[in-house]
Amino acid sequence: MKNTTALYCALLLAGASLTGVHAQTPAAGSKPTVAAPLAPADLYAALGEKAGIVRLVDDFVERLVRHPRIGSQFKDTKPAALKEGLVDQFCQLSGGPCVYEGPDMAELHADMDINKGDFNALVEALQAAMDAQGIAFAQQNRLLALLAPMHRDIITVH
Amino acid sequence: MAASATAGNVQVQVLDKEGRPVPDAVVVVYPSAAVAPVASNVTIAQQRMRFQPLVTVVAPGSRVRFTNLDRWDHHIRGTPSAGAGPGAPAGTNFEMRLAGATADATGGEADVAVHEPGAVLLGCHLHGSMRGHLFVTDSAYTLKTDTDGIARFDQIPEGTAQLRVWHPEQLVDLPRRALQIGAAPVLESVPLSVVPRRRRL
Repeated sequence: MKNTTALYCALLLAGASLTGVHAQTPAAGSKPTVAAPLAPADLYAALGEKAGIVRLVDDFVERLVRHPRIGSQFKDTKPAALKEGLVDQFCQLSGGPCVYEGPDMAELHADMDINKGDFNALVEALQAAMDAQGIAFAQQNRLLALLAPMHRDIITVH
Repeated sequence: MAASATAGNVQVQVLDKEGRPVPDAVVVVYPSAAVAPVASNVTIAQQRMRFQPLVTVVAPGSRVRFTNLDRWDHHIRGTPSAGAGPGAPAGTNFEMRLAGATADATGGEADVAVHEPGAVLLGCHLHGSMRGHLFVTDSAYTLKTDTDGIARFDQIPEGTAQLRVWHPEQLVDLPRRALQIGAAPVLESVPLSVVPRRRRL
């Protein structure tokens, strides 16, 4: 139940955050899904900075590739490459000194046939990884809130 | 009555299992007197997470250049196609990492030489959803279908010929058809036994 609650929390927060992006961004941003200005204060520190994010992402990706439902989505991707991209993305999103330079989320997921259940499975794997890293529940929700708006670009099967 | 010595016209439309046109299918015609295809140099770009073009047809002896136009790296691989047919050309298992483009310069480039007919699946180690196809043909009369699912040939010699249709998602090879090419245009419609997935964006 905790997981489900957290997801809905994150989605609610995400809605609020996204409104914020549009209010703050005067011109059409090229990458609305990687919005560094949204980073809440000290989330980067709460995640254990770069080293903590690397540990988190290592665990997260291992859970993804072994996942009974969505593991097959990653079978043709080198885990190291996936980790590299996620570390940069989480680091930047949380206010750390990183720049994610990969494809935007829509381009990256366009041909993957991802539905809402797949997306939720990934969120749950991330929550489990954050639990395993001892990241406080409130901090988990702050990261999820930054990631949740991406579902608009990632889910292509309704 | 003298038979016309001019080449016949052959138009082939490829349809999916539900009757809709299939673009990017490969249509190969083999006249009774085989005509070898001519080698060429082609470029397959990696752009916005896609292989452009999605399907590339070349002759044995061709040089295929991969050029990364995205801002991030790609790690291209070529492996035997899962599709039916003669399998991958010998010596075309390859992989290479191509650096991303910058504001000032295009990204990494690398060449692959293909020597034998067959189908190669293109992918990327970094972005597992990327797919492309390299079809090395053994007939000069080879075309991809257009957005209407049609391949139009205008120079096929008269006489008997064999027709082959290849599509990466058609895993069970379709039987070849015999064609009789004369003065009148030949119109063929070939259904796949699958419905290929549709690409988004």
